[in-house]
Amino acid sequence: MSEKKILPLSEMQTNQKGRIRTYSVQGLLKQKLYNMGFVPGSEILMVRTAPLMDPIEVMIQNYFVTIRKDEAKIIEVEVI
Amino acid sequence: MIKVALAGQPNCGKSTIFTMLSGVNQHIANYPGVTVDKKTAYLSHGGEKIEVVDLPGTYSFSSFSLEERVAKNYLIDENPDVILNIIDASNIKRSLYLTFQLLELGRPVVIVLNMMDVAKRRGLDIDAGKLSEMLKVRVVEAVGSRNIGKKDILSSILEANSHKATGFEINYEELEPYIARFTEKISIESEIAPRWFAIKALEADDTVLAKAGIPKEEMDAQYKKIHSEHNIDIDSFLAAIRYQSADYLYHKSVKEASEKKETLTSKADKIILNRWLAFPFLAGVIYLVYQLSIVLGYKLTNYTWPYLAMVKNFIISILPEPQFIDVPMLTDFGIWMTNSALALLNYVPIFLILFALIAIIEDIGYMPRIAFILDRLFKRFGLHGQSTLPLVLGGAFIGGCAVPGIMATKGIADDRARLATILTVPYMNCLAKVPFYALLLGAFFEGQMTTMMFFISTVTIFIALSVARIITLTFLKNRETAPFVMELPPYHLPTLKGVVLRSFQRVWLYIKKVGSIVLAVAVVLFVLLQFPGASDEVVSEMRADADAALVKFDQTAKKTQYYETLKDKENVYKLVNLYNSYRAQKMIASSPEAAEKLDVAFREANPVLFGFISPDDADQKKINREVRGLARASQTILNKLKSEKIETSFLGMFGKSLEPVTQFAGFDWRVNVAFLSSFAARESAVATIGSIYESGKTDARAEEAISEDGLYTPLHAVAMLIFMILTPPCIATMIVVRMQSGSYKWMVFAIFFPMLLGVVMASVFFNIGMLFSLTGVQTMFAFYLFMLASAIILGFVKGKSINWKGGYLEKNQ
Ligand SMILES: Nc1nc2c(ncn2[C@@H]2O[C@H](COP(=O)(O)OP(=O)(O)OP(=O)(O)O)[C@@H](O)[C@H]2O)c(=O)[nH]1
Ligand SMILES: [Mg+2]
Repeated sequence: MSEKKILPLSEMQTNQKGRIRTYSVQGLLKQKLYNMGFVPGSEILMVRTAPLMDPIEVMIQNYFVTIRKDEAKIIEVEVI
Repeated sequence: MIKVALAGQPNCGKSTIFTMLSGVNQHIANYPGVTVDKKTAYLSHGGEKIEVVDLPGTYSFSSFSLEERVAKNYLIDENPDVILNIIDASNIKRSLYLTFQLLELGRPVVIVLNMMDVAKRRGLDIDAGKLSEMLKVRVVEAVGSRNIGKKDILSSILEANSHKATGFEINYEELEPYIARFTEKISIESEIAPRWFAIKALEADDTVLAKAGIPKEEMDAQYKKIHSEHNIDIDSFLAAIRYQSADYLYHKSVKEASEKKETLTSKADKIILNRWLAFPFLAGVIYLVYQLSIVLGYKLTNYTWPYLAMVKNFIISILPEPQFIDVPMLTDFGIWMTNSALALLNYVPIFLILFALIAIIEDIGYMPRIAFILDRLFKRFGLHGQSTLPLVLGGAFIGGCAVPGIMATKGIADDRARLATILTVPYMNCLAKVPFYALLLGAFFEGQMTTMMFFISTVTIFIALSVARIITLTFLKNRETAPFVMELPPYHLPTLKGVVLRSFQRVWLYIKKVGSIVLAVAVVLFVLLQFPGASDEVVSEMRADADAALVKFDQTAKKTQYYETLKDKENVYKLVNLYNSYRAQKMIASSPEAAEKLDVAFREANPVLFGFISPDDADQKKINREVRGLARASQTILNKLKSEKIETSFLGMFGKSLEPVTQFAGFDWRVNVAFLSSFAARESAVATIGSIYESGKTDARAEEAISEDGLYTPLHAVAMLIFMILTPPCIATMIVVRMQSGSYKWMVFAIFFPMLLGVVMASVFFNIGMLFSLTGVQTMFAFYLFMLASAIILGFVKGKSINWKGGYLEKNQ
C-alpha cells in the first residue's frame, strides 16, 4: 500500500476514495471546477456512473455532484 | 425603505424564504427579457418598509453562468442595504464558500441557517452562536418550508441595517499585498468595499476590470509576476483558501453525530439512479406527467369549455345583431377576437396542471437527476441532459405544447444546448395540431388512421434530434457551451403553497404575455382576411339569393294566422337570430333540466317569436320548418360570401402569390391560406379550411367536403401532413422563443427555418410519391424512415464542443 496510485477522476472505480492533486485547467472550466469544490487537497468519493456510462456522480466537500467524463479526465486523483 | 437582497447557493431555499417573508399577497414583478429573473416583494416590519429581492442561486461570483451574472450585477449596481445570505444548514461547508465572498462586499450581512430540520435529521449539532461570533454577523435559524424563523429574520434585518458593521474577512496570505495594492488603485463610485473589487480584479473578472478601467495586458503582467514569484495560480489559491477556511469554521461550529447514517437521499438514489431501474423509473415519471397534464387536462377542458362558450355567447349577445345576411363588421370582429382569445384560454387547465407538476419535480430535486441519466444521449445531438423535460412537454407523444416546453428550458446551464432546445421544442407534437391531423386523416386515411397517427407522433422526436444536431453544428457552432458539472441536491418534499403559487404565477405570465400578442396578431389577420372584401358583383348576387329565400318565407307566412307579426322584415331577422342563438345555447346545455330552463327563459324573453322555434299548433310548425330553411340558407350564403372574401382578401392574394413555390408540394392557395392563418393559433387552420370548403355545402362536415372535392389525393394530404408536422410555429410559441432566447433574431429564425424545411420536405416527398406512384401511407413511411436514418447518422457526427476552454488565461498563454 505504500505505492501511490494516481488516476484521472474519470477512471476511478465505484466507491473508491481519493484526494485531488494539483491539476492543470484553464478558463471557464477552471472557475467552474473550483467553485464546485474540486480544489486540490480535497477528498473525493466516486459514487456511481450514469446508466449510459457517462457522466459520473462523485461526493466532494460533503455533497453530491455530477460531472461528464470529458471534464473528469482533467482532474488527477490520488487513490486513498 | 430598506433594500434586502436574498443571496445563496442554488437550492438552499431562497425562494421559500422569500415567499415566507412576503406572504402570498406579494407584489411580484418579473423582469422580462432576461432568462433568469429576479423577483421583488414589498413588506413592512416594525414600521419600516422593506424591499426584498430574490436573486438566482449562485455557487460563487464568477461570471460562469447567466445566473451568476444577474446576481453579481444586481449586488454591484443596486447597492442593497442588507444582504440576506441563505445557507443550507445541512451543507454548511460548501455554503460558506459563497458567504465569504458576500462578506467581502462590505455590506451588512444576515445569515439564515435554513433547512434546520434536515440538519437535525442528519445528526448535525450546529452552534449558531459560535458561527455568529466567528463571522461577526447575525445568524438566524429557520425552516422555510414550515414558516419557522420569519420574525427573527425580519428583526435581524432591521438591526443589521442600523448597525452597519463589517463582518469577517478571509486572510489571503501571500496575495494580501497585491490585494492591498489594487484596493488603493481601484476607485469605483460604489457602496461596495474596494477590497471586493480588488479581489475580483485579481480573479480577472471581466465586469470589474472593465468598471475599474484596468487593461487586460496589465492584469496579464500581474498574473505572470505572481505566478513566478510565489508559484501560485490565483484562482486555485483563492478557492483553496476559501474551502480551508470553510472547513475550519465548520469544524469549530458543527458537531456531527458519531455514527454517520446513510441519508435518505443516498438510499433513494440507489434505486432511482440504479443502472437498470433508472430508465423504467424515468419513463414512469414522464408517462405520469403526460397523463396527468395533457390527457387529464384535456379532459378537464371539456368541463371548462362550456363556461368559455357561455362567455362567447354572452359577447355575441351584446354585439349588434345581424340583419339576415348583413353581418355588421363589429360583430364579425367581436366573434373573431373572442374565438382567438378562447382558443388560448381553453388550454389553461392543461397549463395549470403541467406547471404544478414541473414545480413539484423541480422542488423534489429530480430534474438534475434526469439530466444525469440522459445526458449522454442528448449530448450526441448537441443538447443537454436537461433538455429532456422541455422536449417531453413540447409533445413527445401525441400532443404537448411548445410554450411550457420552451419555458422549461430556463435551467439549462449550457448556453448552446439551451438555445438548441428552445429552437427544437417547436418541432415536437403540438396538441393543437391534432384536430388538423384528425381532419386530414379522416378525409383521406380512414382505414389507416392508427398507422398514420403512429408515424406522425413518433417521427417528431427524430426530427427534433436531427434539427438540434444540424443547428448546433452550424448556426450555433460558436455558441458558448458549458462544462457539465452539476449538483445532485438532496431530495426535498415540496410545499403545497410553493407549488400552487408558482403554477399560478407561470400561467398568469403566460396569459398576460402571450395573450396580448396573440390578440394583436388576430387583429392583423382579421384585417388581412376582411379586406378588400368581396366584389360588388358577388355581393349583389348573394343579395338576390337572400331576397329569394325571404320571399319564399313570406309566401308561406302569408298563409298562416301569424302573418301580422311576420310581415315585418325586422321580426323575421330577429326570428332567425333567435333560432341561431337558441341552437348555440342548447348545444352547451349540460343536462335536461338546464335545457328546460333555457326553454323557459327563451319563452319569457320572446313570448311570440319563440312559438315558431318550439311550435305547438300547425301554423307554427309550418313556420318553424321555414325558419330552419331560412337559417340554413343564410348560413350557406354567408359561407359563400366568406370564402369569396377570403379568396379576394390580402391573405388570399398572398396565398395565391405563394403558389409558384408551394405547388411543388401540391399546395394551392387555399392550403396556403389555412397554413398562414394557423399562425395565430393552430386551431384556425382547421377553421379556415373548414370555412373555405363549407362554401355551398351546408351540412357536410369539413372532412367530407374536402375528400369529395376531388381536388386533392392522399398524396396531397401527406404533403400537407409533412408540412404541418414540421411547421408552422404558432405566434404564442414565437413569443416565448423571443422571451427565452432574448433576441428577435432567433424568433425570426424559428419562424422561417421550419417553414423552409417544411416546404422542402413536403415538396421532396410529394414528388417522390408522384414519381414512384406511391400511396399516401407508403410516402409517409418513406418520410419516417428518412428522418429515422437522419437522426441516427447525425448522432454519430462529432462536433467541437470545448470552446469553454477559451477563457481569459488560455488566450494569453
Ligand atoms: N426540509 C426543508 N425543505 C426546505 C426548507 N426550505 C426550503 N425547502 C425545500 O427546498 C427546495 C428548494 O427550495 P427553493 O426555495 O426553491 O430554493 P432556491 O434557493 O430558491 O433555489 P434556486 O432558486 O434554484 O437557487 C424546495 O423543495 C423547498 O420546499 C426547509 O427549511 N426545510
Ligand atoms: Mg429560487
